[in-house]
Amino acid sequence: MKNFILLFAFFLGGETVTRAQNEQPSDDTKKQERIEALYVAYISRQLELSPEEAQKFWPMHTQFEAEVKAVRRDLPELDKQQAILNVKKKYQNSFNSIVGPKRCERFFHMDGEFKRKLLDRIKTPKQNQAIRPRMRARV
Amino acid sequence: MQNENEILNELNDISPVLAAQPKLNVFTLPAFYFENLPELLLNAVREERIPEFLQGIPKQNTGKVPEGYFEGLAGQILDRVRSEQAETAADEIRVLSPVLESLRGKRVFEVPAGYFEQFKAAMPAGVQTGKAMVVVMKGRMNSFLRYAVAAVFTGLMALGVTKLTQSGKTRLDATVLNGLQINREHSFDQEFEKVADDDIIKYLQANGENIDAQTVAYKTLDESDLPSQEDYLNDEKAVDNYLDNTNAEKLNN
Repeated sequence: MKNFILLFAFFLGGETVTRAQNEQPSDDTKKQERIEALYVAYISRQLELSPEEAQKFWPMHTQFEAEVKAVRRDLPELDKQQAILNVKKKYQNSFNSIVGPKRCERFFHMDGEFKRKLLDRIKTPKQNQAIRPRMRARV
Repeated sequence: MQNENEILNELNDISPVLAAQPKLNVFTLPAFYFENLPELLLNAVREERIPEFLQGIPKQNTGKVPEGYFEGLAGQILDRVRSEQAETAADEIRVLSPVLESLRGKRVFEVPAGYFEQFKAAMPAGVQTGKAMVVVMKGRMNSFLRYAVAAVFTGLMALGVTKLTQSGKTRLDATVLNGLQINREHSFDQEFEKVADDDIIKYLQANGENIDAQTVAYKTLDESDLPSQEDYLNDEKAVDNYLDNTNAEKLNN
């Protein structure tokens, strides 16, 4: 009986380790999560969320974001925008009750602002970029 | 002082004679009385001095008992007890309950002769007289089953404690917690600068933004890698080499 329990414990431990390894996020996922974290930081700063407000706001935002992402991307542009707008209207009251109407309006504005900030960042040429020696070595 | 006067007035009401007595200690002793007392007593014993109130008593033994008194005392007491014992237990029962007295020495729980031999025949017809089924009860529960039950209970308790501690507080995921920490540390700008352009493009595309092909091409192209004018002059395959290297680099990434 003792051997059986030992074997069972080893099996359980091995299964747990395997599961944990499988659940390790990939490098790409980590990078995407890093940008998501920056989004959270940006919105939190812009809305000046208190810890209590954040505790309610972000779980609600997770639902909101899931519904926005669920909008079919292959829809015609206007239909897609209308569908996203419907989701925003649906969640407006919920966000209102957490942060108030002013900050709720600001949130919908800042939501797009973060993406514009990212676009600006990639459209701005890098300054003082180091010259790679690979091609110059041929001169 | 006021208490003393009140007491005096009360005493005066109760007994004017006592109240009129001067405040003197009447229980006085000669000086050094107790210091000399042991010596005085010892001297009195040595000199066999007898106090005056004892001198009048004659020197006779007044506590005499008859001769042989204690030898026969136990027998006398027992004889007295026996003589005074009015009635026995049997006499008492006879007085209290004559019925009980009449049953003395008789066996009342008797069955008629051959009663049990004839008992089977007297059973009703519907009652089965065959051998009854014997159900054997297991002594102990299987050990494995006990461990399994213990594990289930432990799991349920742990789950209950977890639910209890988390009740009323929504659990935020790790990404949100990281973001809140960046906000607390005011390190948004530093962290934002660290993000690679490629990751931003992937993020925006994943979130439904249309990143035009030109922007992607521009951002993935590193100007410093482009061949210089001298490269074109020295090597007519400069462009081919550049494209090969770029493709190789992309494959490596």
